[in-house]
Amino acid sequence: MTPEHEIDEWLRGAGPEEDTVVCTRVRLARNLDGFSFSATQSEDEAVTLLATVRRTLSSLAEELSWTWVDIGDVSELDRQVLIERHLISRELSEGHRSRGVLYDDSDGRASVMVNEEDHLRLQVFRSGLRMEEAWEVADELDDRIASLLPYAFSNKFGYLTSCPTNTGTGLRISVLVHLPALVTSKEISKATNAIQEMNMVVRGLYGEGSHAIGDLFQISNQRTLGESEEEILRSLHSAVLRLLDWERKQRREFLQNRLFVEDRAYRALGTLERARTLSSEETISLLSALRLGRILGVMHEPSLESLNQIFLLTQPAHLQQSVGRELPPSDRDLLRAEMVRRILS
Amino acid sequence: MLCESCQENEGVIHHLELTNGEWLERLLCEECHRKNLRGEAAEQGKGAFTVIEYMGQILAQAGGSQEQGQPTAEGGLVCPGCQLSFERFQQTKRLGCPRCYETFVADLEQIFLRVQERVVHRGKVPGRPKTAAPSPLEIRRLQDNLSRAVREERFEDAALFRDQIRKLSASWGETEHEGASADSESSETEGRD
Repeated sequence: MTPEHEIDEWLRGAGPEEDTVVCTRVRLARNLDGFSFSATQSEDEAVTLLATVRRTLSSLAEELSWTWVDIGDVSELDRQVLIERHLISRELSEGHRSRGVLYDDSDGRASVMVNEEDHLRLQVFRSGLRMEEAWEVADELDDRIASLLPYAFSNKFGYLTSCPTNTGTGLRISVLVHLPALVTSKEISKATNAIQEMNMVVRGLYGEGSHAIGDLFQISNQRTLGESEEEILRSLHSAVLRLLDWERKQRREFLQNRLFVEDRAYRALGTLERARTLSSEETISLLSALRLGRILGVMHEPSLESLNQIFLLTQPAHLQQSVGRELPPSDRDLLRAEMVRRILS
Repeated sequence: MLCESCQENEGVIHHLELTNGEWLERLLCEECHRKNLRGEAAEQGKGAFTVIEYMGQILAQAGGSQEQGQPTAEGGLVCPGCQLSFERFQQTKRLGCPRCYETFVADLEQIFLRVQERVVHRGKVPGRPKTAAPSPLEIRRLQDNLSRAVREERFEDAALFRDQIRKLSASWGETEHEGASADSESSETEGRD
């Protein structure tokens, strides 16, 4: 694992609808025919599966210059860093059976988790709203893997997954959106209800049940069965666009009171530039105000990329990795404030 | 027959619905069926809590009493592929192997109807892989067949199963499958029930 990687693709801050959409993720759940699913899998089977996948995909991994990590072999801190980069899930990190991940370490654009809830979880990330592109890349990767390993598939139910909420296409597309104007104007619950009516799921940044820190929300498709991948893409796309229109309308109203937006953004900048300790939650919510001010053009510095850099690098594991050791939360807050000052100066 | 709800369109779907903990079956038209599913989902608070929890509620009421599986001593349904019981599926909300989809098919269709509002896949279909991957379940199935054949003194069949196991094992490579590999000599005598 490279200790100092470039900023990952999903946080590059450039792409279609970048004023409101942080990134797009496409995930495919796949299982191998002839193996038990995770719920009934023995450790022996897990070991066999991991070794088989690793061996079978080795030439593909070499061709793509991807890195293989045996999760059991890496430290807790390295696992946390992979979680913060979204390359592995918390579930994979905390699992007890043999498990691993194959990923693009250069810019974190894709990964394949092995022995998560499903045998394989393919993920592709793109910054901005780029569902089609992310899907095409995932689709091709999926085809390459399917030519090497037999998937559990039924003509009636499609790709067979461990949980029936993923059966069918096994496809979950998530779009990470930034909705500060909807949150501040308290229109957010109306907006998320409308999205749920369209059969989409709205969650906070850190997934199921998490509240929306930093005004960041994940929108994803709920249905995986009975619709083609293209149909799922299209309906999520139109739901997201509707939400973005709503947010932009609120933002325009905000701009009627430019002073309010300006004041909030500069207060946030002031705190970030001067504070001596910063918790991760405070940092994320200050970044949200700053980001809105930047996008609405009330200020011209700092760049969106440096805001994203702060977002990624000040997460607990990344901070600790930068000094090469574990730190208690109070020390992390000191280090975080220092790092933010450094990036902003 | 007319739809039991609107009494206008033709009833085409056997709609199942939970009423006071009992499954109530009605013949509905497509439109009323969808409307009912939505109403039910809203009532169950879909959105307010997660789809998984919603599925858990459906599962808690479901039967697991089809004929495809093997009943346990207590009478519950068990998947012959991985020995996952219906009770365990209810608890964990996770299936155990591809065969579970046949074993629990009726309950799964109800889950799909409610949670996904669809039952039949319409997306992509995988191409066949060029090489077969190791399959512990297939090996286990062959070992079971082998033991049964030996017990029943069907030695020609037994030899056939033994050859199949050897062939599969050989194509897996030498190192990875020791645990799952068929030591056919001992399987023949001991078997594994």
